[in-house]
Amino acid sequence: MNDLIVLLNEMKARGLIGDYAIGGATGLIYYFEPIQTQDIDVFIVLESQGQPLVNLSPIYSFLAERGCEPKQEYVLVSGVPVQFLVPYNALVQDAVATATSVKFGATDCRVLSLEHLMTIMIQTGRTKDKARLEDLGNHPTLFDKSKFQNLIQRFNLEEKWQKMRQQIDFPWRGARRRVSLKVREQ
Amino acid sequence: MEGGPPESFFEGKRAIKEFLISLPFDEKIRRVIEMQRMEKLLKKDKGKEIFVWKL
Repeated sequence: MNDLIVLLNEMKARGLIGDYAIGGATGLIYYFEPIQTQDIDVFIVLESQGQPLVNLSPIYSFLAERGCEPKQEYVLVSGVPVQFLVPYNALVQDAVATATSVKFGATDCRVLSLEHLMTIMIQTGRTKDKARLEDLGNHPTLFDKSKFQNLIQRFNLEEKWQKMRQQIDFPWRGARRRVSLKVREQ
Repeated sequence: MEGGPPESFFEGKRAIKEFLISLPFDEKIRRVIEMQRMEKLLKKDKGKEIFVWKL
């Protein structure tokens, strides 16, 4: 993982990419508990972004020079399967542009904000996203509720979120449980 | 157990989770790698390739 971050910082310093940010489960792990995952999603901003065709070959050549081999949809960086993704919509573009600088050991890296990760989970809407959102709802102090709601509105996800909320217990179960415990203690 | 486990069970579970949440990023990834090692060990004959990261 550290090798990947060093590599990403080098790609940025050399101007191969404009910027990057770690997303997906690995991004979530920064804010939450360790969870089982197989690959690392890295969003990369290319200087050529906005043009109809995205050319990833300079990046793949650079990675090949560093001994990173492609395998299925991944590139293996020191044995770690990494998916290099170009921000595919306005929400993900905003997420990468406003990503947070964090420390991995002594190395700096960028991770999507938790509120953006949660909003992307709503947009993606897979079963595991719903489970993760429900889990996060039990830890309401971890995220900024107004920022989260603002993102839902900005990216027109209110309807999807309302539907999802009927399927999951979010976000007040944890709060309710704490209140009921207090009542019992009294 | 009638009525499910006692509240102390959930409190303990929550305390462990909060401890894990409070760990630094690299420590969390170390634990993810441990999970991957376990998965590889348990599923090694099922044909699915399981990656074990390097910290």
